[in-house]
Amino acid sequence: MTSEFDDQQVSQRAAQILHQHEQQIYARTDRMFAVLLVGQWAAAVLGAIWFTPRTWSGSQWSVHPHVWLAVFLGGALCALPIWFVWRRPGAVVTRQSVAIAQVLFSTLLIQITGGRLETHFHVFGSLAFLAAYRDWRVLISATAVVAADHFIRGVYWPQSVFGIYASSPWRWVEHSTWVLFEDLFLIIVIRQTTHEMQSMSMQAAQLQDATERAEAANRIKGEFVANMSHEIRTPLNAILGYTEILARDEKADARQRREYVDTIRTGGRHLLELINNILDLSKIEFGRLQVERSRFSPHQLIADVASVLRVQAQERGISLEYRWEGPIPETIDSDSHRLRQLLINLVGNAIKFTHQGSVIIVARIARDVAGDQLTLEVQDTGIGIPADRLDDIFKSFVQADSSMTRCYGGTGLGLTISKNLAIALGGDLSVESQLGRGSVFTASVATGDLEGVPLHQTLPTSPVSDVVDLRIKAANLAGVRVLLADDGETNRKLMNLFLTREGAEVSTAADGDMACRMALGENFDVVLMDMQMPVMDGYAATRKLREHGFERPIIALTAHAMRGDREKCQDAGCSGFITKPVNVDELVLQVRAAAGVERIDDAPTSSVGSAKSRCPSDSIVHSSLPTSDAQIREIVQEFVDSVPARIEAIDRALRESNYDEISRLAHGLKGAGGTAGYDGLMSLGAQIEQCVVGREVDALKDVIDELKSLNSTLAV
Amino acid sequence: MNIASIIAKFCTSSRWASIGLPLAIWLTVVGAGWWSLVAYGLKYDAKPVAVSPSQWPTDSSITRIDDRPLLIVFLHPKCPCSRATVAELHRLTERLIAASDRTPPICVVACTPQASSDESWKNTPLIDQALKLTKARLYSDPGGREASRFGAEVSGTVMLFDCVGRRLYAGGITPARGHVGQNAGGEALTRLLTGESAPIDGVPALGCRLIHDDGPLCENACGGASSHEGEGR
Repeated sequence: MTSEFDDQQVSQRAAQILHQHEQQIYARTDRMFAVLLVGQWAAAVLGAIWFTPRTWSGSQWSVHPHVWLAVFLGGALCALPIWFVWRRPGAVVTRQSVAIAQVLFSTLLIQITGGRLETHFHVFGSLAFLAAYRDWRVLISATAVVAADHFIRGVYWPQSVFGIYASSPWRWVEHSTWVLFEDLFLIIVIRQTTHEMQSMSMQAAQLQDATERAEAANRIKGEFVANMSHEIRTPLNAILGYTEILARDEKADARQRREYVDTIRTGGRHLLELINNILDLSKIEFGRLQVERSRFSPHQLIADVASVLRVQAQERGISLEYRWEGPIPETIDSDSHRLRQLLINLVGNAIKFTHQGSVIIVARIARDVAGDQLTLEVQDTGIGIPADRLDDIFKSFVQADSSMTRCYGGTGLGLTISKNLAIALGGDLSVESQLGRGSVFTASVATGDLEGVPLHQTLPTSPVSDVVDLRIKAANLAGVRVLLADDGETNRKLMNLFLTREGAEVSTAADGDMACRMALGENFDVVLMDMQMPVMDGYAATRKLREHGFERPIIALTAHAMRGDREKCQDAGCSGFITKPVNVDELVLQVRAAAGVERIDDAPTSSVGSAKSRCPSDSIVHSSLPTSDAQIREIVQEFVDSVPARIEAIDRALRESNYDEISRLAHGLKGAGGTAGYDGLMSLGAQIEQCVVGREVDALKDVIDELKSLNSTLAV
Repeated sequence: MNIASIIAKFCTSSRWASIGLPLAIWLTVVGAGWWSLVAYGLKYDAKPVAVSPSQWPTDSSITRIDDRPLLIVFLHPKCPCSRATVAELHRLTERLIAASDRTPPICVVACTPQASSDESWKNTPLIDQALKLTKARLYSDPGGREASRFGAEVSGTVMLFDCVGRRLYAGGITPARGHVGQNAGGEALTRLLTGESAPIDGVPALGCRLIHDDGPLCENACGGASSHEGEGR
């Protein structure tokens, strides 16, 4: 985003570069002319000595006046310009004196050479050479001297220049016009060159600006990485620490264990939020932020957000309220998930930076012919933002002050994401703030057409519809028939277990072909389809099912959480999307919604564990799943027992340089490892896949060694 | 602030001392130098053309063929400025040949010091160049006697006499000292040689003095040197 101020700065820098460039040209041309003037002086003296060494009076001789004129007039012509070149290189007076001296040398040289026609070309050559200054004004001075020379000669000695004693008083104009004729072309060339120089200066300025911006961005990203490192390590330390305690402290009672687990869950959720933010930013940067519109109650959404964050506000000793100004539409047409995300960001920020007072959400509808808009003002009585930092807070990785990060935490991504969300929702986000007094963030989003939508004048007493708290503690999948297609046995077993416990009837398939046959042969409510399987992958299987008229929901299971994967799955015909490792709650919710038990607009995807995690080789690594559950423990144990064979298979495939096989095995290890609660294995599996793509054999061997090392520490 | 006060302020400023004053002095000096250069190129000190005899001097030992015009050019053998005169004569004769071959005989009168034994006065590049003119013959004029008879005082003086010995033109044929190029004298001479009338019968010649103030080209006492006169080739 380039502001007018930035453009002005680039223009100023371009002007500075141009000025420097011009000065270099002036000074360099000054030096060239200094040498030329001395050369011409020497040539004039030598010419005079050669052509007219003596003048005679009878048999008496004396040195010819031409020699003296060459010595003294030539010397005088050189003296001041060269002194200026030495003392004032690049100055206007220097090049103007050079221009005058240069054309007067023409007069001297023409005289010395007896008026030879060829010597007259010195005038035209001099003008062309003076054009090297790229300053048309020197041509004007030089031409003025030529014109004056001809004018004065025309008045006093017309025969010396026109060959006749009584010439037309305007004959000098004719001669000068020919010089001007050359000037015309030279000035055109100078202007073109100047334009090119201006263009080059602008490019150089833009390049410098871009370089500085890139360096600044790198610096900010460096700070961001350091900050992120802190943000990730803090909950991770808590998770690992309490996990370790849970593993070792066998005497802990049920209450203590519950506390430990709650802490671990909180840490995990924080990490998830962080990763979701980064993924959102990634989508924004690549222009892949998607908006899925539906009708929902804005009031309920605001009430929900206020309700969720009120506890946080109360913990800080401040109040969180909301109110409507004007009529309240029953529903609006927007993306409830993104609007909720936007509002949570703004209100969460306001709470974070407010120590006393209140945070108030003010909502209003603005009717306009260009389109109706919902305006949400988040007013706080917090610390405020310095005026000179207001533009920066919407940039990625930037907080008003880098010390803010240390004091208040956060990634510096929230407002960037919020601004982009607001824009994606057809509005914008702006801020007004007074340092020490508080801030007002104003978000506007398009509401869609409100014609025919009931408008309430008072607050509804109960939630209107649609917005659903996604966090469910339990779900009833009784009677739901699920086909689970996954080539990873561990995955199949675990998901089978989770779904069965919720009441679902689960059938499993190990590849896409089998899944197709089963889905078309039996009556399933939902199909869970792993997208990477042998024989027939999930994309092909889904397409085949759709082609055969299969209309029930197909939920894609994929380990790829990045951009484009959801769209790829949708293109293949999938109606849902779950990322691996599978979050149990999300799995159940998605299945439940798909089966028609309850509709869910857009369940959040999770990619916990996609971050690179390494485990120290000297510590025991346990599954993150609740292995106290005998059935889960059995499945996990089975998986752990299978790991050495998988590693051996990878080793063998490497010896045979069978990279496709390595990739297949690594993908299986990644999926199963993640689902079995071993993020380290998932990470290493992903690394192996990357190494295979890049054919990085050495790196591949290192990762396999690391895998072997990790294997020795695995425990249920 | 009026112009006078601006100038006054500038003249008392440091810029005046470092730029304005040197520039003013320099412009004055080079302006004066330029003036001297141009003025010197047109400076002549020969006597007016009118002092030349209007008829062929009867006491001249230079042979004139009746019924034919004769062009005489007086040269100081070492005059550098007269190269332009010879160059102009070449140009003139070439034009005449191209037009109608009405080139008259040319008598190159080389004024040398009396009784000079110095070979450097003979066969100088200037004389060699002059003798390359069509129908040119050399007349050695030790002591400048003939030059005196014809009233020629500076090298580069050209005279044209018609068939009956009337002087039609006497003067220079260069635009400036040692300067080639279109000029009024050359134009007048061309017109006369092509049978037309000329607006002028001479312009001052510009060259070295044939005769020193102390006397003609004398190294010793001037006197008759008839033995050297009429030496042509």
